[in-house]
Amino acid sequence: MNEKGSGIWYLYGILIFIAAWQAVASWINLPIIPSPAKVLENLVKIFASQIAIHGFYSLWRIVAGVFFAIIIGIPLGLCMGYFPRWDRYLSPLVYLTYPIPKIALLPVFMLLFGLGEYSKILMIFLIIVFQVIIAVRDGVKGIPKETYYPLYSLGAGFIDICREILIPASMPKFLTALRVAMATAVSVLFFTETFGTKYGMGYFIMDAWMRVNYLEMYSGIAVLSNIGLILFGTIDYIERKTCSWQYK
Amino acid sequence: MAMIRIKDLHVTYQAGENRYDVLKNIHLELAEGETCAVIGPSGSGKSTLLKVLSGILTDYKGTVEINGQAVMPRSQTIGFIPQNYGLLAWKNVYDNIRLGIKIKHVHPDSQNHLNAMIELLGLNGLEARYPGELSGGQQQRVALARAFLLKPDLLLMDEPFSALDALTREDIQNVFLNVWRKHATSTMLVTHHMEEAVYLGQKIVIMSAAPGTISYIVDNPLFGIEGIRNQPEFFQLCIKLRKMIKEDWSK
Repeated sequence: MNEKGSGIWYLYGILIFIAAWQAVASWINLPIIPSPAKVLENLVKIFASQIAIHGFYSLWRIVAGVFFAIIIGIPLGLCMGYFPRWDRYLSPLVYLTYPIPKIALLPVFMLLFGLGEYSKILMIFLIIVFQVIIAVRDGVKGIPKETYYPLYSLGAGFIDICREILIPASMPKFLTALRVAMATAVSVLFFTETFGTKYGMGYFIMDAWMRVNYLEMYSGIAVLSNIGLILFGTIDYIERKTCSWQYK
Repeated sequence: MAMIRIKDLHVTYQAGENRYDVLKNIHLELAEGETCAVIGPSGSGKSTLLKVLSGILTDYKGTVEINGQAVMPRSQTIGFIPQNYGLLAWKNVYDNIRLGIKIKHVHPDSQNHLNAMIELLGLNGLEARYPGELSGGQQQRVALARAFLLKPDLLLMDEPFSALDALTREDIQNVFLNVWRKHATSTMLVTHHMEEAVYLGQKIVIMSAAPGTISYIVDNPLFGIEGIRNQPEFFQLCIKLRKMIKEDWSK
């Protein structure tokens, strides 16, 4: 794969998307779908003064949620994958709680943790953490036993095994899970930001919608979608840096 | 003094309700710096024997000692090369070779030592490659470099050359002997090729299956003779041992 070329392909994706948008806008020709040029013009005008702060809040909530999901999900997944006993005790608990629609618990979290940042970050954390736990656990379970033997015969402890085998071996599955979970997390973040806050892309977009300001609404959607692009791009970058071995 | 002493070793394997004997009444002694080739049919517990000696399998009866001590991977240095070479796919050649000394927290005497090992095994220029980019023979060289760099008390190899094509196998066998001569590491290798056993083993241990027991221990008079592989004595010994095995295994 040509690494330097990937930036060009992102640009290519954006251009195709804008062309399709333009086509639909000129075909429908109503204010509810403004042309991309107008939205872009509006975006340039209001980004620094109005949208940036909302974008920053949304990004911070996602990053915080992902951060906690990683520092809790990875160790749990590693232990569940490596120690059968942990798996026996914890898997039923995970399976029982994983399917609970987290969004349905939002009112409860808001009562318990307030309307502010905690309940939103907790929501993102809960959506991502299960996928991380299960992906890392299965990644570890999929490692052939023989892989451990040379390290066992060297007297390696659990920390050595984690550092040399478990973490690098489960990394690709972890990153895939993070990608899948990230899209859901962004959608749910949007929803949580329509309650109890005056900051965040969710708030900004819904506010523009209420004010029937379609240009601002689309500007907000464009920013949210670019936040997603940055997040996915970052995961891809990390994968290229840490998991290039799997394509050899 | 014997480097490895195995006395009354007994290993059983639980499958459902039944217990099977995998290894029974194993007695074996190996001197310091000696190589020992273990040959036997599948199911004779050859690999199990290596797992016991490497400290991977600890559920056994009997005495297994390395330098007069029970097997303890933490305090002894045991190099183990499994059948698939045991390289980590996510580490390049350089880091794979360094893995052993990293786990053992030994600093190689100098960078030169590591470089010398890379040189000795003909791995120059491959340091940055990942195992997936190497041929089977190159992977085996990396595994040998990793094991020998540690200067192990004991080197264990489970069918180390069986996945290689005939020419590469002979080549790597010579590489092994070459490195072994420089380091004189006590080595036990499991194989199912008689020629390999006769070429690499000072001692040849012939096992039989179900339960795994030692049938013969043969001191190999031909070990280490230059170019022995092309001499008639070599073939004669192989044929003689094969005949012994056939009689033994058909009992």
